[in-house]
Amino acid sequence: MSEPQLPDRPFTKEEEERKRAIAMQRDPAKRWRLIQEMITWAEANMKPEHRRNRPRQPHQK
Amino acid sequence: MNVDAILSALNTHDVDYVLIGGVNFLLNHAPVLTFDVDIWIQDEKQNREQLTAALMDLKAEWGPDDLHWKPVGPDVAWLMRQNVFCLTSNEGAIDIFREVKGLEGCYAECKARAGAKRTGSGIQYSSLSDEDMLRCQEALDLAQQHHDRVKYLREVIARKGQTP
Repeated sequence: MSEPQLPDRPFTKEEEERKRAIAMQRDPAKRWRLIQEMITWAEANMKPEHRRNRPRQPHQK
Repeated sequence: MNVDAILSALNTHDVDYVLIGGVNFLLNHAPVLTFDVDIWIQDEKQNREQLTAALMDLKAEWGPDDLHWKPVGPDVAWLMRQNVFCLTSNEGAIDIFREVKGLEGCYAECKARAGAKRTGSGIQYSSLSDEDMLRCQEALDLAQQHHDRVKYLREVIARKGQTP
């Protein structure tokens, strides 16, 4: 069972995202590395039919 | 973002969690643009301690405000402040949910319905079910809903012949 907790204020998620966005701007190189890694990871983990970099089928241009 | 590394750290520390959000949708269905890993945790003291240990391994950072943004330390009290936290880490952005809108008080049931799955490189994770993914989308305000995901999930569930 969950323990007692403070109720979330309105817009808690938005405020959390704002703080993180500022924190990530402090290291643009890391932010860019993480974006590139996410794209690579997503490509490797998507279903084959959804991959953009999949081998072309004969009927595809 | 290295999702495998984030899930591995959680698994290594035996964190009781369910993967939710865009990454879970991407792994199970279709591509979506997402740059954070959304984790719903079982909200008990020992699990919060295990989560904190995993976050320290990942060199995660969080702060109550911009001026006090700092690495997550061994003190778990910060996790009691609110229900949702957005962190940075060496492996990418992580959102921690102690409670999920639309699924309040239902962690155990959702975990039981969640599938034990693996990423493409074999990392095990617990995946929020399609029905529960739809429930939490439908609990959001219309402006916050991912309408493409809602449509997709409704179609998938209809094809399965189940009702959400």
